[in-house]
Amino acid sequence: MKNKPEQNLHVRLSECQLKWREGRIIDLPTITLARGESLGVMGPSGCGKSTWLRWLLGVTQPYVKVTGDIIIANHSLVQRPIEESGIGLVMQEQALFPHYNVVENLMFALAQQKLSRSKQRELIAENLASIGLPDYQQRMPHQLSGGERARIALLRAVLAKPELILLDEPFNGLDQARRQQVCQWTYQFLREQGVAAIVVSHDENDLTLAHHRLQWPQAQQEQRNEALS
Amino acid sequence: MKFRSYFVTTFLAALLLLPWLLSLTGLSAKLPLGSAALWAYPGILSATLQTLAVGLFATLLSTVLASLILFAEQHKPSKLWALTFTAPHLAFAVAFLWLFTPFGWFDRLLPGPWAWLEQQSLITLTLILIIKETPFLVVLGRQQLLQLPYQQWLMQGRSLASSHWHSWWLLVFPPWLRAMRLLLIAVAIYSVGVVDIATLAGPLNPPLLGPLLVSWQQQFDPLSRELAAQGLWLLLALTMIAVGWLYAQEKLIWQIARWRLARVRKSRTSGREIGLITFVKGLRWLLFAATLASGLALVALSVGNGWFHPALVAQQWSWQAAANTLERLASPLLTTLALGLVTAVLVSVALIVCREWQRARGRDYPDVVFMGALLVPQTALVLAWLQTDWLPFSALSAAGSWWLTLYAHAWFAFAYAYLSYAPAERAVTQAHLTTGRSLGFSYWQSWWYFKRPALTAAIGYAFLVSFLVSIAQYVPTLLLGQGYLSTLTTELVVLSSGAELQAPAVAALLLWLLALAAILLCGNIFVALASRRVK
Repeated sequence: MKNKPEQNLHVRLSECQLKWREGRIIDLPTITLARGESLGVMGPSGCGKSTWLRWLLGVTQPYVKVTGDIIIANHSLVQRPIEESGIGLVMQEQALFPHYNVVENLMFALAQQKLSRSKQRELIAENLASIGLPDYQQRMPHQLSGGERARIALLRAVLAKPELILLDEPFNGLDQARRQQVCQWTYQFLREQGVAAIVVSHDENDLTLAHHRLQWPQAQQEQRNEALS
Repeated sequence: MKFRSYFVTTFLAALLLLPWLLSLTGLSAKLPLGSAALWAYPGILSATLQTLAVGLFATLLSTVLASLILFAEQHKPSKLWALTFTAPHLAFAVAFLWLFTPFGWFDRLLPGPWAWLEQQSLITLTLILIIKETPFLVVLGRQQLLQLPYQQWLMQGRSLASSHWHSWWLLVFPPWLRAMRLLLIAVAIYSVGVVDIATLAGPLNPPLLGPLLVSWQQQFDPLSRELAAQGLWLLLALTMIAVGWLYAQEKLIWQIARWRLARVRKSRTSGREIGLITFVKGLRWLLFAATLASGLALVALSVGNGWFHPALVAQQWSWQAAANTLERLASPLLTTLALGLVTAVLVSVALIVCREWQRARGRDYPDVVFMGALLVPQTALVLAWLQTDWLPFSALSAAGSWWLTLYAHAWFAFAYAYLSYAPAERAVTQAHLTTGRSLGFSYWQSWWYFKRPALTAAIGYAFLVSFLVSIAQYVPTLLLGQGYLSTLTTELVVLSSGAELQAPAVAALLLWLLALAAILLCGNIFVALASRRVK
């Protein structure tokens, strides 16, 4: 990946190693992202991409040991709980809380911004209109199409004002035509919002619009001492 | 050979629907209106209010505790709950009363702090119910939780800067409560209509409505019969109130959650919340210790002679008196064992047939259809059966009452066992069975060779649950057995009403050991079968 001038750097992930219990090892290079930039990470299903994303988020995963550092806005985030990391998450599965309607899903993200309820509603109405879904406030997630769900999920993540957003296979389950449309909208929206993002997918077509791309490396097997002797 | 749908439908209808039909025909038209004899009965208002209070408080507090425990044990569920859950409630109650009430063993050790926990009171009964219902809700609540993608919800909630604590209560708890609705209704209905534990630990003068109804039904004068017929309606009305309360509680939780969604939340779990979680984690040890202490107390009481207040230890230890009581309890023990085993076999077969019948019809009926027996107070149902004219005269004979009691045991046990078997069966694919049939095997041959191996543990568990439910049945055995049948549970209630300690302790210990033996045997047999399959 190209080096950027230090002052533009917003997210810096140092060289990182993932080591599974059974001895599988993945080494990742240093990654840097400026605001509004995105990194597309491609690799087959089950190669460890989601495990890495969860580590970035701060989820404890007892079956894998990860070494490396996450620096956002000059602060190290390793060991910080998820809720204090300033990292948002968008997943295709369970993208929204299915038991709350659209406006309630979005209000959950706005809660920490100390806005009055009416101000929250106003902001949500504006943002829904800006993504082309103005009359969707009272709809339940099951009443939305896959593309609509994906857009609202990304809007929800952005409304919480994160420093970095992780998108885990965000376009899965969408048909080909819809997938391309939602994909274009997503990258454009992230750029406009000035949020750094990491998009993980097994389909390289999902990542063509990303600023940087990383092919998930081949796993190596740990050389055990016993085997050497 | 095809799946004989008509034959199976008839079998299931006979097993599951006939009791409902009998109940409907047995309901008398004697509604307890304004001038009914029921309202003139001394203390009826107090009995009604206390019955409702026990039902609502025990259910509410058990639900709160169970939800806190599930939160605290998300990452590492404790197995202690299963051990606490399987102790027979009546046997536990006998030991608990002797240990913790005034003049009990702990009162002798540390006099004073136990004065509020009277031998028979509303608080004592509510406490025992909470101790027994909380592990039940934890064990079954965890199963319900695992059906929800709650970890993804939590992860997303936390990534939106909400603490783990808030994410749990706002995102996971409301849908979990909705998933628990049927189970909570069953618990509330049991608590409102409880008879056996209420007879031992509930208030006297007046007693709760459940024990009152049973005592009226056992009298032969017309007034008592009329009171029983009218009281049945009152119990049903209280049940409706309890169910209404649960719906209102669920609605309220949703409203609070919606209201809190938009409010500023702490992004870190506070010290007070951490303290609460630590307390809840300690609670499992406390309840386990209380259960263990109760088991040990029963052993000590069974062999201790001349153990009078304020002595901490018995004057003499001897198995002789226990052996004499055991001799007296041999017949009830055999009856309990026979009823339990036949019930467990019958229910296991019925469960398998019932699920395969749904598969063959391509329809998965809602669980509520098969759990109906848990959604009406047991006492009300049994009283309605006894009041129907449809029951053949032969059912009142010694042999008839045996079959009638067995039918009731199987019917009630079926509802509990369905709760555990249905989800496990749903998770098993029907593809192997279909492949087997395409190879020329009959439906049931194919089931036996290709599907049963995947269900061995679930069938074993259903067998165990049915057996445990059967040995704990009190009201159906007492009223339908009509004096011809005596089990360990009915004997235990009779023995506990006296002042003697040793005989009820022996009966309670026997009941406990029977349950424990069933758990160990079922566990070993089905683990062996499952491992044989793996080999």
